[in-house]
Amino acid sequence: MRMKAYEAMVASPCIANRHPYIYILYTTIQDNSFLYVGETEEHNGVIGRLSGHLNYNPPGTFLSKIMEYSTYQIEEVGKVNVIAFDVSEYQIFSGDINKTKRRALEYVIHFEMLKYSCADEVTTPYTVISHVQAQERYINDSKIQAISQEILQQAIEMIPFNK
Amino acid sequence: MIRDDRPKELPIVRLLAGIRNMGYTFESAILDIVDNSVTAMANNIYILIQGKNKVDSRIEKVIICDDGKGMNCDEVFNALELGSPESVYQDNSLSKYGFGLKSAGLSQANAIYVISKHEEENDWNKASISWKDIKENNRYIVDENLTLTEEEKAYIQQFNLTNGTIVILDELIKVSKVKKNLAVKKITEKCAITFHRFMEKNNLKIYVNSDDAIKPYDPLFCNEIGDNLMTHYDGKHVCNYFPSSYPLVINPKTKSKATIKAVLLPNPPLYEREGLQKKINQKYHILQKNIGFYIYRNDRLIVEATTLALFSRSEPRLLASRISIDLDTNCDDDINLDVKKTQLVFPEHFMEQLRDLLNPYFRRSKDLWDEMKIRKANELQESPTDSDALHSRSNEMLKGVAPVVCDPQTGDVKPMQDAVVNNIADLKEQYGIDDTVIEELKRKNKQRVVTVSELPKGMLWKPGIGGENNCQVIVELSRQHPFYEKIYKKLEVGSDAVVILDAFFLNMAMAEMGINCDDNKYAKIFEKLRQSVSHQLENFIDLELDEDDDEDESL
Repeated sequence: MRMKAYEAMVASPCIANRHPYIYILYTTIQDNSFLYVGETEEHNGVIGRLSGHLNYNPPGTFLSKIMEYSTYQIEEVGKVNVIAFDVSEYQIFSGDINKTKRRALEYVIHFEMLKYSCADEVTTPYTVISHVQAQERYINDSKIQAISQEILQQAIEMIPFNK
Repeated sequence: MIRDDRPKELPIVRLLAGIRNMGYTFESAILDIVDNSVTAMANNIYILIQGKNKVDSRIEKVIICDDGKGMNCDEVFNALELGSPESVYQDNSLSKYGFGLKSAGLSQANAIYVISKHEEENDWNKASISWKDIKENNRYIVDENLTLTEEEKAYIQQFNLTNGTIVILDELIKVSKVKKNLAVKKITEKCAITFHRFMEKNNLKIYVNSDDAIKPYDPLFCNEIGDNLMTHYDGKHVCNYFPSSYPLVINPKTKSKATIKAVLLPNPPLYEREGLQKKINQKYHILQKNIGFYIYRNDRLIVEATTLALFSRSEPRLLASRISIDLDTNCDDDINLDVKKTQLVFPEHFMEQLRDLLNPYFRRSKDLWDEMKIRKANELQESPTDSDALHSRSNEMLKGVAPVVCDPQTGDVKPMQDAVVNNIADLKEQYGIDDTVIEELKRKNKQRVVTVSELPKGMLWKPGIGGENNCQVIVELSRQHPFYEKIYKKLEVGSDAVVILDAFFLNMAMAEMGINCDDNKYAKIFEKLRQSVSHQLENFIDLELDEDDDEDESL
């Protein structure tokens, strides 16, 4: 019997830097796809946050959300992809004091991705499984709105559901 | 295994008895029939609710006439056939199961007559079903090719119908106890709200026992919104929350979606001074029972002012909040809609997304209600908010306190109030306090702890100038800050805890002002301190308390 072996790849080591990020996780199980929008400024970047999402016992947020939204079990989850957007250059998202702004950005991206799931060009249906909460005054902030559009545009280019 | 010896015939009488008792009210039954006229693209619908005579106010018969495209002989039969074929229904109609006319009609009457003439045909067709015949024959019977009575011919003449349909509910049962005037009022109100979009856009006219068409009632008052957004809410105009309606997916596989629109109506208490509060309340139907979600299917309102368990109806600050959810036929397979089309259940994941989407709207609506209350209080020079009552004891106890400076080496304490007074002009400029603010503070009866709707940069507190002779240091607290919302507001009015917290923030304000009145080089540091602490507290409250605060979260 062969040893269990897994392969993981990152596009750039920068993803492990401690920066503020908006990230999108997605996976496909059989013919059902799931997408999760999150924010983080973990010590080990998105990689650090990812490990929290993929914990088996107790199940991390991403895995437990999949189980919540479907009848799949953890063991059925296969390849998980992550797209991370480093928002440190905007400054307004750095540090604990700006978590509310990151949450606002996360909220806007979450609902934009949800809206996009109904777009005609989406050929592989996906379910948005994240849970968001934010404050109204930041959601409608014009700067956050503009940044979210920039992220959204890139996200749409990178996700596989419209190919 | 399917056994041949089991009965093959459906127990039609029992089945129909069940169908006619599905829970239709008089209004929902009539509205279901009127909807067929709307689907038939009628321009005019006449509803006649007739009593036995002028003395007896009980209803005997209901007649619904329309000038829609009408039906030929087969279509009249289909309309009365049980479980009419799916093919005869249009996508934009409210029909779903092919039971509407029969279940709605038989729920109120023992006999249903349908008289119709198709726009491309010459003759009127008449057919009927009778509960008595069905019971006697123990089978479902549609009686066709009937001759029109003089009364029916009179309706055609009276309403000048060249084509269209007349539905007569005769031998009324359950409604016999409903008074005619009350029934007319209820049907008028229901038609006004249910079909308001057709009346507004398609020039549909509905008449209920009157020569005057009823006026449409849009519960969201969309025609008043224009470009108004809630970010610029002034309490006097209807505003949109979303810049454009938000399409919220119900099923990503079928791409079915519900379109969400949230508005905030004017704030009636703001009109109190002009004596127009009652008028505004009436115009916008500002009542607790009208708060909430208005659900439309194919442009008909099917559910009115439901909370969807997303907020509490007893929250007075949501009185001006209304949300519409628009569904189309594509959503039918993803929502659970009953035959009456008045009850529906959304999938759980849709409800979660809806909750997340609208939580900020509900929070902002409540804040704006408070803000309007303050504006009104300022106008009326009255005690502004419940929040001010919370701090009343502190304000009594703290009214005389003044900043001091303490030498840590010697322990000497020196008053600093003079320094504050001497530098008051500079301090006002430094803290952006203009005369309008001073005027507002004057109205607040020389309070030292003042609550405001929101402070810049998400701060919890900020020093100000006010109090006695408008030259004392005061502290402003932001009611929108989560610390205020979730900690302060939960404390008992005037309790020791409130006084201690108030004293703490007032002291922070006095220390800041005291230091800055001599030398403002620390001004930025103090501002950063307030900003940092405010944000840290905000994050702490959001992260630590949200999970346990289900009730608040749902708002």
